Amino acid sequence: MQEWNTVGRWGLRYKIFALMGSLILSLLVATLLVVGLQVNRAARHRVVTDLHRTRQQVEALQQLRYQSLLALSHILSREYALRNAVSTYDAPTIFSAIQSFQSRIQSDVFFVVDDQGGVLASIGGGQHLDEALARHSARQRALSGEEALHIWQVQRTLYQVVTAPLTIGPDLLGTLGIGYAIDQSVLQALQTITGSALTVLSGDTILASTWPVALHPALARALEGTGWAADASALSQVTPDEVQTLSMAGETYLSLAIPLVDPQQQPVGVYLLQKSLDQELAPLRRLQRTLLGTGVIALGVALAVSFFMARGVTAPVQALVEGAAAVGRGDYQYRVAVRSRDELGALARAYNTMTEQLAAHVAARQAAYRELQQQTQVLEASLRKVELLEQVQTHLGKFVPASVKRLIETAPEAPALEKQDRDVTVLFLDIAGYTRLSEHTSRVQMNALVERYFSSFLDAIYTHHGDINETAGDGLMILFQEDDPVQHAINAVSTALAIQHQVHTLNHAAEHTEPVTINIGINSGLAAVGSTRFEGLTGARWTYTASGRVTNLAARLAELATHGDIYLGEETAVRVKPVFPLRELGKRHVKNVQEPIAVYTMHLNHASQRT
Amino acid sequence: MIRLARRHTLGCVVLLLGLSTARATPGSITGQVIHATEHTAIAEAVVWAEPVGTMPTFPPPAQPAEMAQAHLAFVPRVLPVLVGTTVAFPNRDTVYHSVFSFARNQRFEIGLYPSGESRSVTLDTPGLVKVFCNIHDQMFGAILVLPTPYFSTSTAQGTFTLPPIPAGDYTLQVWHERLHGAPQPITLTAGGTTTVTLALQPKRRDE
Repeated sequence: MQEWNTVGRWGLRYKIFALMGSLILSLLVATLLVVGLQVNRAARHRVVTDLHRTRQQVEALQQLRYQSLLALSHILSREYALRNAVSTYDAPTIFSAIQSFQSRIQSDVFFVVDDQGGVLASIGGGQHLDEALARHSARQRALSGEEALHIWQVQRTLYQVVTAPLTIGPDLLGTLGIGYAIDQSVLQALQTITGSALTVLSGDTILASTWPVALHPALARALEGTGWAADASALSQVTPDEVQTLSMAGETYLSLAIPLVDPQQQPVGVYLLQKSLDQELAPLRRLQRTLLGTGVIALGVALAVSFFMARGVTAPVQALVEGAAAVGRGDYQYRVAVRSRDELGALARAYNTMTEQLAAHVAARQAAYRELQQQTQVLEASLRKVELLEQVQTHLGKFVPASVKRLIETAPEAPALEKQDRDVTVLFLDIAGYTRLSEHTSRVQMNALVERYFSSFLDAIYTHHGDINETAGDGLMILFQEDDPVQHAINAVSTALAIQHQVHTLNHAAEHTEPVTINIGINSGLAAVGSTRFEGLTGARWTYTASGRVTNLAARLAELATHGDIYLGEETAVRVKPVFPLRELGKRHVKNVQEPIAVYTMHLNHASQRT
Repeated sequence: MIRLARRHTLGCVVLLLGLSTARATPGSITGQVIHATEHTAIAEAVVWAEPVGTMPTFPPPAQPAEMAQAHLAFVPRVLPVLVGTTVAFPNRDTVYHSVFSFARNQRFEIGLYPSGESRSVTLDTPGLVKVFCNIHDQMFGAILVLPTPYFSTSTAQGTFTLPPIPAGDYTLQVWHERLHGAPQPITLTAGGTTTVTLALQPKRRDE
């Protein structure tokens, strides 16, 4: 009983607990996943948008700087004082003059080339600028009187340069060049505006960058394989809209490269725009952490609630289990105390009702069982009586004639045992010389002999519906009754023949002893058939027999017969004559009968007897 | 000049008087120019004394005054001269320079001339003549053309000493590129020395 009502460690309470926990947990995880995904996408999208905006600003700035340089060159190329200074062709003078102009227009480079291409003065870029100027073909274009836009790399700096002819009337005085450097300060200004890190690359050389110099090697490593740190000829392949993800110093940056082409569409480098995805994600990560925090709190609260809920469910269930255990023990008075109005309460009420009804049923059944037991006892007693009766019947049956049995079985309450006149055939048989045999045979041997021979007759008697009615020491009285008066006569004769056959067989089988001779007398007719009662004070002794003249004559015929003959009375002979061959022996006198009676014998009887 | 004349009648006086002597014996005026609020010494302030009453005529000096060009600057930057004085602009620099003035009373323009050469201009109208170089924006010189020879420029320490001045009543005036000081009447005794402290204030917008 302890086994089924003991709840294992994974009881309902823990299951509810685990269910709620896993539900909330999966909800939390799903939320975090979805938020994480969305947040990542949103951040990425924002960073890419920012990069494109930065790109637009970079391009706009570049454009603006060209425009401003062009406007300035328009003014300067016709500036009186500048022309005045240049017209001296005195390098220091020109240099001193352009210094003031340069300081006014705040350009990074300022140079004047004479009409032969010789550098008159230059500011910013130093000797390298002069060398660059000396070999730069673009100079020639300015000399031919055109304004021109350029991007020049001088040493490790890129410059946006505008060259303009410096003329006096129709005369070409020289060429004026002004330019702005694409240097760290510009990039930093752009970074301040856009929030993106900017780097100017030429091949794998970092010309300028908002990154600290210490980070440049990391940047160079990150750039490997992007195709952006390629030489100028390969840069024309760079797709301006292609955003790549670069990792630098443990941080992830989305990066965009803008090909830096000079106004002649010659690629000279790349603007690399970078924005940290991690930084963009930081507030979102904080949101995620907040979500996680609140989620964990929610999980805790949910677990606590589910714990109490689980207890609310399992406590009534436990009470029901105990109730069931009580019923199991047979305690029908136990009532489950659950007051809640939910399904469990209903179950508990139903359970209590069930227990009550069960108690009533059990009581009823117990009463029924007790009654049954009593009846069984009665029945058993009756059975014992029946068994006794059966035994009595078995034993008595041997003593009771078959016809009596039939009469009793036909009407057990009132067997027709009263004497009635009925048509019967009576067969008597005697052992010839019984008295002589008894003299030289022991009583036991004699008894055995009689039993052996008589027993052998029994089958023949019963087969022909004969009824052994009386036994004397050396004879039998057999009664045959049938509705058909001819039939029982035939039966009797057939029995007689069968007996004689048995005697013959037995005599042959026991050759060493003296042959036994059985003489038979048969007679038919009306006889008083029924019980002959001797009633005393201590009890009654009933004998069922047929009495009267028919019986007497049958007995006398048997006495009369010798040598194993079968003698028939006239009545029997008349009935069986059509069936059996008979021989009339004539009228004979018999004991206690005045008139002689006709005696018949079986034709074959003698023949069989004598052979 | 109108302003200068008006200032002549204004001003408050802080002066120490020397003893009155014969007019033939010149007196002397020394002093310091300071910032009225910052109390720092003011250099390159021109201080001069104008006689009260009829202005005598002073002959211009035979030697020209000099404002050189060196290291992309006029040296000295501030030059007081007596009216009618010829000012020479020797180019002692390595580069060409020009000199021009857009002053209403004294417009002139000298074209670029190389190092080692010099150009001159005679300034015969009193007033302030600002000079520039055509090709060097930063170059600036101020020539103060004065009616009297009793002038001086304050040193880096703000001190000044006017040349010997005959005894009499004067108006002491001061000019500075960015600062303003009120004219002061001053009576100079023969052989006496007057020491003056001139406190300058930032110029008001209408000046």
